[in-house]
Amino acid sequence: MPPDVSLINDRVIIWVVAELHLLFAAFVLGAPIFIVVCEYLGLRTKDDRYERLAKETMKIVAISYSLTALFGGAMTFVLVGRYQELSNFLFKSFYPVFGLYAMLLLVESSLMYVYWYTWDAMAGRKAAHISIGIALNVVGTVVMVLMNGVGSFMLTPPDSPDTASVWQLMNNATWTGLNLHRFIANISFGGFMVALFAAIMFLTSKREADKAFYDWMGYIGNFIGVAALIALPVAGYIYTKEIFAYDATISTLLMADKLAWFFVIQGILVGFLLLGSMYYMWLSIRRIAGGARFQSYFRGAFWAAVVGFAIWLVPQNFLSSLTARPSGPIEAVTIPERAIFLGLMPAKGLAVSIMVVVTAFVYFLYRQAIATGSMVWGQIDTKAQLTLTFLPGLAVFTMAYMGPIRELARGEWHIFQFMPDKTPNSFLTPLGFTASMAAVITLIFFLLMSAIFWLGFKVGHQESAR
Amino acid sequence: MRILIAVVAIIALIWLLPLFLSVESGLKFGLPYRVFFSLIVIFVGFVFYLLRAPDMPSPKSAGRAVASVAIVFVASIGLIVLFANLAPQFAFESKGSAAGTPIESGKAIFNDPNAGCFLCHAVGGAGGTRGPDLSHVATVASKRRPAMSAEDYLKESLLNPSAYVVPTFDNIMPPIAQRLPPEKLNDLLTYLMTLK
Ligand code: HEC
Repeated sequence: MPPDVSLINDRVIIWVVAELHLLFAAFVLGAPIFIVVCEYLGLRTKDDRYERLAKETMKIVAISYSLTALFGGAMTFVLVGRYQELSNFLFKSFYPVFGLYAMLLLVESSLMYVYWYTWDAMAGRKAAHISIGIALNVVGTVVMVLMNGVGSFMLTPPDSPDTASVWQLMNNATWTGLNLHRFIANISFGGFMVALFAAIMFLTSKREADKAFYDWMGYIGNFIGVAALIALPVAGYIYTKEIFAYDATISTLLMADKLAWFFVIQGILVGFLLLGSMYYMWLSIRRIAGGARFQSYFRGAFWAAVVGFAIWLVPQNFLSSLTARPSGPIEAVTIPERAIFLGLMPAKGLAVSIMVVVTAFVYFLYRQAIATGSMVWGQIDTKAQLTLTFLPGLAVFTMAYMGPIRELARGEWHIFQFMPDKTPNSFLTPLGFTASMAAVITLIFFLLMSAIFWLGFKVGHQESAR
Repeated sequence: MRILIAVVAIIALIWLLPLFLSVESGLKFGLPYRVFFSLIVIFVGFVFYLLRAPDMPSPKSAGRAVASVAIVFVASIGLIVLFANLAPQFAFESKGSAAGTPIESGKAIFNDPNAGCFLCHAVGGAGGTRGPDLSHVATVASKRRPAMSAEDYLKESLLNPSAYVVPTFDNIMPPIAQRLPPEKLNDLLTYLMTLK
């Protein structure tokens, strides 16, 4: 913080509550998609494990739901209390949207409780129960899409926002991109969170049957998580394309100026996610009968992936902004002549594509191996389970880190080039501070999640064991 | 062991090779790059070590299981946060200090990536080349359009760039200044008028 601003200020408070609201919202939106799919698979395949997975996870969602609402409420209080100019404008201009939002929230939470509390009662009418789950997801997605309209508006408002129609405000330049990106990310996040629950249950279970179940559950969670993760860079690309088309000055700030180094760290995060999920599949394939013959392909895939990763990360320079100048010679901190191409977009795009394609390749090999060999559930290297806990930890941190980037992209504006942020806390936060904030938020999130998890899984289990 | 040797050898190469290269070769990477590449090599070595690492026994107790999960969390996220704190940092800028005189403020807007002027225009040798050099724009502006004062011409160039397109340049300048609040626009004009 600048010396004249205390560490606990409005900016930090709104940052923490908004991000926690978002993380929980992402979970209660992403997990139900996963849950309904599992319930459906349980019905189709007659495999009881799907049913159990869906139900155990839904219990956690039901508890998380109230925390989402709690942080949403807190966020509104801070906005209304401390950012009046902005919240007045938003509530006034988006009045019908917020009205609809409130109504749909009511519908969504009702559906959620109906879905959860009729789970056993409707065991004989699965199709009807699944329909409730689908309705829940549809309404949940609409709720998210409404708020994405407001969020994306702040970065890319249409011309003269004070006279534009509500539809013009909503249908702004980056609404689609944000919707797509968040929708896919939520699914991935839901999958990885399920894998996390499974891994912890696996590591702490004693009975072989339980171990086998949680091993399988982690496998399914990772399966969905990775599938969505592979699609995510494409959505991210569309989203950034929209931002760049809207205003070239934002892209400069993001890619060449003060936020450029933020994207190096983001590259590390996404790379770790892709490599981590590949590593899980590598460990997992070893216990498949006949899986060994795939291992040499895997090794090749890892080579390609780390090369892509390295190219992706090469920075253009070691300067904190376009106008920053080093104390020594500039050649020492900028990329040399002949290597400049490594720092430019085509190389980066290629590198990211390599990583994504390789992960997809491994994913299909893995499916192939499973289809042809038989899997021994419950016998897997502990490292695989630790990887399954590493992935969601990283996913949450990545989300808590990318959120601020999206906010910082507005520079000193509440609403880009329309309403300046005149509060004393309006400044770009440096990289280290931003990452530390993300870490603190990640920590709070997991502490809360552990409490929920303990309530949902452990306490619930003791009951059923009795 | 083989991995360790490979990692050490490559890192040695990263640090020794530049001793024999001149800046003109266009391949001499500076100190921070060498550190950066070394870290990547260590990471890659770690990945391949993990691929062949022997199986890890399952934790003896639930407490140990939770502890190992916590260690993985703290180590991975901690490393990233550490790295983020070591990377180049810009300083916090409090609002109040930036302003100063109108000329300073105008100059700040010109160099602010949110306005983006310097990306296309150079002043005193530094800046972009997609637009005309503005080092002497105040003088140039007084002659551009016979019936217009320099000030009016500049204002028009900012608010409505297509009204007059400087020969040999494309009509690509965005009307960014339209979105500046009036007092900032005035500061920007005041600054441009000093570029005689
Ligand atoms: C996308 C690149 C671009 C950006 C960004 C840009 N300009 Fe320009 N500018 C141009 C081009 C090209 C011309 C010449 C064509 C024309 O006159 O429209 C020009 C012309 C001008 C002129 C007239 C110069 C003359 O010799 O007559 C002025 C003054 C000017 N720009 C100032 C600015 C200021 C101030 C900003 C920031 C608010 C800015 N420009 C941002 C590209 C840009």
